[in-house]
Formats: sequence, structure tokens, C-alpha cells
Amino acid sequence: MQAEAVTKPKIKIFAFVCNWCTYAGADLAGTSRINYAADVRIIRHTCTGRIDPLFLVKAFENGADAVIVSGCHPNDCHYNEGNYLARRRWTVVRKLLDFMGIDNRRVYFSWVSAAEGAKWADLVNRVSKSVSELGPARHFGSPATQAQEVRP
Amino acid sequence: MKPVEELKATAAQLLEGKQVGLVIGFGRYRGRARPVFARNAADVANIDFGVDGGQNLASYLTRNAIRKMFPVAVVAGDATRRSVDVLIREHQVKPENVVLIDSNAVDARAERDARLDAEIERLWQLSPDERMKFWEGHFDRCTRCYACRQSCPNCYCTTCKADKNRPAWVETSAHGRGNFSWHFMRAFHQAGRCVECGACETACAADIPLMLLNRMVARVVAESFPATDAEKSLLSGWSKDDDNSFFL
Amino acid sequence: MTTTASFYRVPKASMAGLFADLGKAGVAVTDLTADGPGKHKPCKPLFFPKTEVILEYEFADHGEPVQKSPDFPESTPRLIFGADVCDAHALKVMDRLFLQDPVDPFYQARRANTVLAAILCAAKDTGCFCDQMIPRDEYLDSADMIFAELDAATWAVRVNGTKAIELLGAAFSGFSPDPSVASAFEQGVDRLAASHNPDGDYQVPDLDELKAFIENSFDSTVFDQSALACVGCGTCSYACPTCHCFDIVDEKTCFSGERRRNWDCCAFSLFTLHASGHNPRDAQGQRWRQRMLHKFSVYKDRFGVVSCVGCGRCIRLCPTGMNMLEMFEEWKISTDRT
Repeated sequence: MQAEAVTKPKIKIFAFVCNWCTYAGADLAGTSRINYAADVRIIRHTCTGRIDPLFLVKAFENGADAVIVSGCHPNDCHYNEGNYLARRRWTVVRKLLDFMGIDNRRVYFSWVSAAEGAKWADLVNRVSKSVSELGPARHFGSPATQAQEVRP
Repeated sequence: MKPVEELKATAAQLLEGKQVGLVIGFGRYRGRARPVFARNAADVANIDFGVDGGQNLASYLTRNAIRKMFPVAVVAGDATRRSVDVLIREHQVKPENVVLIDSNAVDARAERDARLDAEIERLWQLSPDERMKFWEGHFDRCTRCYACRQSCPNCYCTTCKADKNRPAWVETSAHGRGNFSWHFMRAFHQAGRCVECGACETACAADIPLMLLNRMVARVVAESFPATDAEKSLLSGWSKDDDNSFFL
Repeated sequence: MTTTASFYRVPKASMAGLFADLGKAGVAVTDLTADGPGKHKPCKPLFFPKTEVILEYEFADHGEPVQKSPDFPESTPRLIFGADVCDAHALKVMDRLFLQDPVDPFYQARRANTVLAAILCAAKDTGCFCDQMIPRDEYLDSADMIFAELDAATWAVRVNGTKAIELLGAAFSGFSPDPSVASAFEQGVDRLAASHNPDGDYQVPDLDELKAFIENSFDSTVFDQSALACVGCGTCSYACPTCHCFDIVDEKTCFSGERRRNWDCCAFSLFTLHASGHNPRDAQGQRWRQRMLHKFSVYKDRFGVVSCVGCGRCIRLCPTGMNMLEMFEEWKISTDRT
């Protein structure tokens, strides 16, 4: 059950999660004293249906090296349909992000229920390991990619 | 293809009989095809039923100045007709307010689609970083004039998300970051709605290959989802059978 | 108004080496003709960029914000080569606004640090009417240097004043003095004026009559009718070398923040939206009227010249074929230019 020892975060993972399932699941990982990679910053939403694709873009603009989107399993959404609407959306979003140059290996989607504390920890560990190997993300927000400034 | 005289007569009769307040079509001025507006039967002479200036005339159906003249008639090719269907489905235009008149303009989209598909395939073979460089190169020229948005019938929001500043969803500055999020957002908002008329790319003064984005999204939609029914937009609905394979 | 002009000839082939030498001497060189002859990029963005930082700060170790200032006025001298003469003249039109009190320090610094070299067009393009907007005696005065093609291998160069000579320094030795090319410039302007628009010649109305017509038509429906095609994008303003409206925005990431000045356009539907929710110009016809008024009436009243140089870009680039010259013809304003 022991995950990797806590180390200084090398990469930043932004996790957009739903309050009722994944956030509770992450909480369970904590109360169960499961050690897992400290790279993740969790942003709580009421439902995955509320997660605007622009949040993912903003995450990368603000230094994210990876993004996790996670919520209730299909059929278990607290608001009945939110995760279904979200799922359809993500099919388009992940392709569009990839096509525009944001590596699909940095964008993760999962269903993690309130009882799946271990799954949450495993997920974060897996993302942390994979993305550390990829290294920091280069994005449109990076100083190197800013449009040529015309300074006087 | 209907005889031109018949089309002209239809347009003139609609105006004379006051069944419509305006006929929107294409005409030529000094060699350039562009939208023209016939307010009376005499103006119909300015409409050339055989040309298409590249604009999507359905975009005028959501403009206040035109709505004041409803009902209106539109000389509509295939893409424009599908745009009118989208607008009706999304409750932006009532069916009784639009009369469609045939267009004799040649539809060259098949050849364009083949070219787009080949380029999209080429881009998919590149690495994500290479694709990002490709788009950076193009977005570097983007001035955020929003000609793409304004020429699109689907972009009818009174306050576009890009114009909101509390919060600022999309940075309005024309730098790499802002331009990326703008074009991402617009392409995403077209999912399941874009009719691939190409008006956005035609309008762009910076020659940004917008149709690569829109066609890529349209292909993903066509391959991933059942055909949208006439009542509901794609992203307003869901199915138990939607792809779940990319969820961990 | 004319400055002291001197005349030279220089082989076209030597320009690349000249630019390289200047680069080594610490001068930033921009060649607006780099995309090919006849395709001159606009120079407005080099003085009034589409987005520019006017204030910036960063969070030092996630603590207090520390302000950094843009690095002017100690900044790199520049040579901009290949601007259109209409664009160069447009800068002089914009100078009247940006360089009056309160002076715009960003624009002023760029104007001060830049030597502008314009190329005299051989002929008009679609929609061009510069000859009817730029006073004849101001054509050749519009930039620090004017280049005109003397023959396939040679530029004729007119240097106005000494700014260019000072910037070029040693590199200027490649320019051979030749007062006889002065006539080539006069002939060049005449030839440009006499050339024909590929889309058919335009006759621009008398500007005083135009001003009066627009002012007197404030409450008429003429603008609503003319602007039906306008979809309210920013193409015309952004392409226009004298349009200068801007928006100020604050943007930040987790690490730093910037205050930016960005281009804005009076054709945008939300351009005059008030915080109260009221929009005094919420119809496209009203916004079109405002564009015409500003360019041909208000700017003239405030600064002595209309803010249009006849470059034709608004006509060439409008996505829906709006054409103000066509409108002027329809409005039947007198073209008798006394």
C-alpha cells in the first residue's frame, strides 16, 4: 500500500475533480494515511460537468505540466448526467488539445469514486512518474513562446 | 440548378408581396463577389445567383439590423442551408422568418476537404511539440480582429466568452497564450455545430488555416458520435455508448 | 513642409550586406519586404503594436510584487526598411495624436529610435487612393529615406534630413551621391498618381464636402443602410495605418503580471458598452457612422488632417466587401476638388 516516499515536487499536476466522488476519494486517501506523490494540486468542482475545457488550457498557461480530470463513475453522478455530458466533451477536447500541440500524455481522465482512495493515490503516482519522465511542459504560456515583443 | 430568371422572379415576388423585408444574396462589385442586400424588386438585379463570395450568409440572420427586417430570404448554398438548420435547432431563428432561395454557385468544398484531410494527416504524424510550433507560427500573425468569429453563423453570443472579463476566460491580448486559448475555445465551441463553410478562413486577413482546426474537430465528432438529431446539439446530449476508453 | 533632401543611388544587391553590417553595429533591422517584392508588410505594428506591455511586475519568491519597467527610452536603434509611403505618411498623421501633450512615451520612443525607409510604389493596388489623400509635396517627405526603383538592379534613394545618415554611419558609404535621381522621384510620384486601380479607378470626393455630408447625416438612415454587410470585426481598423484605438488590460499568471495595451476597434459591438449596461452605439450603423465621423470629421477638427491616407487596406481586406469609396459614390458627394 505504501506509495513512493514523499519527495519535493518536480512537476506540477493540476487535478480538476468533482466534490462528491473524486474529492472524497482523495480525502479518503489522506485519512487512510496513504503516501503518494506530492506533485498534485487539487481543484474542487461540484461536478465534472462543470469543468470547462478552458480550465485545462489555463492550467497549462499557469505552469501545469500535466492535468487530471476526475469524477464520479458513469451512472453515479451526483447530478445524474453531469459526468455523461463531460465525457462527451472530453472526447473532443483531448483530440483538439493534442492537435494544437498539448501532448496527450500530459492530460489524464479518470473515474474515481469516494471509496477509491487507493485508486486516487495510484493514479497520481502513475501520472507523476510518467510526466516526470516527459519533463516540464513547454506551452504557449512559457516565456520562450511569447509572441515577439516590440520593445522600443 | 434553377434557371436564373426563375430565381430572380422568386426573389422579386417575395419582396413585392412583402413576404420578406430583405433578400440577402451575393453580388459582384468591381469584380469581387460579396454579400448584397435587396430591399426591393429593383435591387434584385444586383444579385448574382451563380457566385459565392466565401461568406456564410446565414451569419446575417443573427444580426440585429437584419432581424428588424424579418422575415428575410437568403440565397443559400448547401453550407448556408445547414447553418440555417443549426440556428433553428438552437432556437436563434424561427423557421417562419427565413425563406431559402436556391443558389447556382459551384460548391468546391470536396476538393478543399481532400486537401485539408491530407494536411491534418500530415500534422498528426508530427510530435506534439512540432504541432505546437506549427500553430505558434500561425497564431503569431493573429491580431484578434475576430473576423473568424463575426463571419460565423454559429458565433451569435451577444457577449462572447472572449469578451468577458469577470473572470477573463480568454486573454484578449494577441500574444501566444491569448491566441492559443482563443482559437482553442472557438474550435471547441464549434463541435457538432460547424458546417465547414470555410467563411472563417476566408475572412481571416492573417491567412491562418482555421479550417484545419474546424475540420479536425468535425471529423472527430463524425467518427465518435451518432449523427446529431434535429432537436438537440451534440454537446447538449450524451449516450451510454459514448467512448469511455480513455478514462482510467 | 520639407526637410533638406539629399539624393543617392545604391545597388539593390548591397542591401543585404548593409543590413548585416548594421546588425553587427547593434542596430535592429526589420525588412518589411522579406516576404517578396511588392508584398510590403504594414509598419504600424512596429510603432503601435497589436499588444504591448506598458507595466509589468513579478512575484519575487512568491512574496511581494516587484515592478519592472519596460526598457525604454534606452533602447535599441532600429532601421525599418520597405514600408509603403502611405504607411510612412500615416505615421505622421498619428504623430499629431500620440506626440501631443500628454505624449505617449512608448510611441514616442519608437519614433525617436527608428529610421524609417519607405519604398515608393510603382502603381496602385486594388482600392488604393493615396494620390487623392496625401498632399503631393508631402509624399517624398513622409519617411527618413525613400527608395524608388531606378532600374532592376539599382535603388534611387532620397534621404530626408540627417537621421538616416547618422544611424547608418559607416554603412552609408555604400550610397553614391547622385543629385540627378531627384527627378526620378518626382516622376515616380506622378506615375503612381496616374496609375490605374486594377479594380477600376476611384474618384474620392472633396474632403470638406465629405466631412459636411457625414456630419449632416448624423440622424439619417444612410449609415444603417450602408453598413448592412458589416459584421463588426476589427479587420479594417487593425489593418488601417492611422487607426489607433486601444484597450488596456491586466493579465497575470501565478508568477508575474502585466498591464497591456491592445488594439481595439470601434466596430466591435461592445466597444462603447458602459459599466451600467447602456451602450450608446449598439447598432452597427451607428458604429459605422462613428468610423466615418472620426476619420473624416473629428480627427480633422482636432488635428488638422483626416485620418486616412488612401492605402486601400480596409477595402482589400474587409471580409464582407465593405467599401467606403463605393459609399461615397452612392452618396453623390461632389468630387470637385478645388
